[in-house]
Amino acid sequence: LRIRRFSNVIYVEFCDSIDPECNAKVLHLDGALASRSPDWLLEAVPSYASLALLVDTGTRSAGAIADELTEICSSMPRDPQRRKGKLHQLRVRYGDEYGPDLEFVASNAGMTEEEAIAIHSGREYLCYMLGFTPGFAYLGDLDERIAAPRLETPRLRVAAGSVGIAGRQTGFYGVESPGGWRIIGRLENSTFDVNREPPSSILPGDRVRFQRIG
Amino acid sequence: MTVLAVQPVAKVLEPGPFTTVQDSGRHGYRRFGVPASGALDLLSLSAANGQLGNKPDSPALELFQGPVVIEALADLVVGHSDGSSLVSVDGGATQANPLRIKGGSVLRLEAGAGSAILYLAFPGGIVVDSVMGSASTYTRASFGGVRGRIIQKGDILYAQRDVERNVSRREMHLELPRHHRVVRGPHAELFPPESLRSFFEAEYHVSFQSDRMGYRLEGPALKGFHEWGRVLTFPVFPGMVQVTPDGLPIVLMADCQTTGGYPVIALVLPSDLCALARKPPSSPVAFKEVTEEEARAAMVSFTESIGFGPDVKH
Repeated sequence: LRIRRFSNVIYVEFCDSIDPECNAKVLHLDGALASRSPDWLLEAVPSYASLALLVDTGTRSAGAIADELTEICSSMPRDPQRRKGKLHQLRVRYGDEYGPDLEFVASNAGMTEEEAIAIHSGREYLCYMLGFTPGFAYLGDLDERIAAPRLETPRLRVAAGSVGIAGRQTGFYGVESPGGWRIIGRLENSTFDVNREPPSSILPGDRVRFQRIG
Repeated sequence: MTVLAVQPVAKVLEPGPFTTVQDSGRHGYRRFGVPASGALDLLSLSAANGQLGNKPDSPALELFQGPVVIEALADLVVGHSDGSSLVSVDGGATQANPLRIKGGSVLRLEAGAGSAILYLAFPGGIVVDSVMGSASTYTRASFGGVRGRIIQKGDILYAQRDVERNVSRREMHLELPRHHRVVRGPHAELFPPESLRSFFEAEYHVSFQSDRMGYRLEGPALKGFHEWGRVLTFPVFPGMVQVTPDGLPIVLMADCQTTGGYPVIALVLPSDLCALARKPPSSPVAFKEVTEEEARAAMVSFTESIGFGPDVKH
């Protein structure tokens, strides 16, 4: 565990890899802080391996905040139980205009598109974090047989709901944006809506299963 | 305090290259991948609103690298953020701020030489639908502000016509210091010492490829970061200086993505990020490292000078 301070930003780092147990600790601390709601906390952002905190150093010095965080972390269970995340069944149209890189992913893996789809939709994924652009969900872990490198030149426009692959990660875009992931399909329904609270229906710690349609 | 009804107050005749409605930003939603957005220069937003006695974080027009021309649809009072702005009403230059304009008059407003940004405030603040608690426009995902986009010719702006409030006009210190104060960032120690030294000694220039997401800097490329591309995706914030594989820094701004994968060498203090945001392309930029205590003191005085919190709790 490392607590690092950078003026009004503090990172609580639990590890430096993509690992479900490490991510569970990040989310556990996030939940603990949400229920304590300390007056110095402005915003908490969970990610794969660390919890980033935007803090009000006018209320309390970063050093004192770090001490409090150390204390909170020391009373955390060594292996926090993963929050029983909600399971989402998300319907996906694979290939064709919805998934322009499916062909690449399949041939890169030395298999047919059908086989690649079966592998991608054949397991349950964990949502580690949301980030990058509104509603973008980082899911893992992808079966290494269909892992694929990012595009060398990112696309300027990737449609909202596009499902992509980058290394051993998979995920989807909440809104239209530029993007460098290999796009293999598109969600039937968007998971992001600015008029909903919270705006994303998928939250870190939730589980996702892709269901092929079309 | 008398607050009058909201009504159409102005019609946009010339929108400028990237004019948007911004307030102090959208806070508490980074965990969903939603950036804060908000004014690039919170000090100037606060100053423009102060001319009218508005709440300092009220929604205003942000003029980015260009002028706007509007027609007043009613007798109106407006305020702007910079005493060196070029302002004219029906073709006649004026220094008045706040500025009373007659219905039907045409107001032209442009930042003075040496400033990239200017704010134009309307009584009580511009009225648009609030999205996730903020009026700020985030064009990349098309929400906030006027229909989620930059201001266009023919847009109608809504506000109150006039508001009787206590006007708290303040001196506008819009200096553009060469140096911007920073603390070292989370990956500073991954750069070789000579590379880190070069970052603090270098003079950079604001690139023309700068926008509300980030200001690219041109100058000496940093060498020898030995884990290029190997930073695990982590949360980033406005003010962070990330270094891309070409060795050049990008200062993340209000619309920046919520997570990044490039190493962050430094973090510009919020107060000094305002001054940096005002710098037009090709302006010189240099960084000065300060201690955590100095950063804290700067934060406290910044919060006092803008008149609202460093952030708003969600």
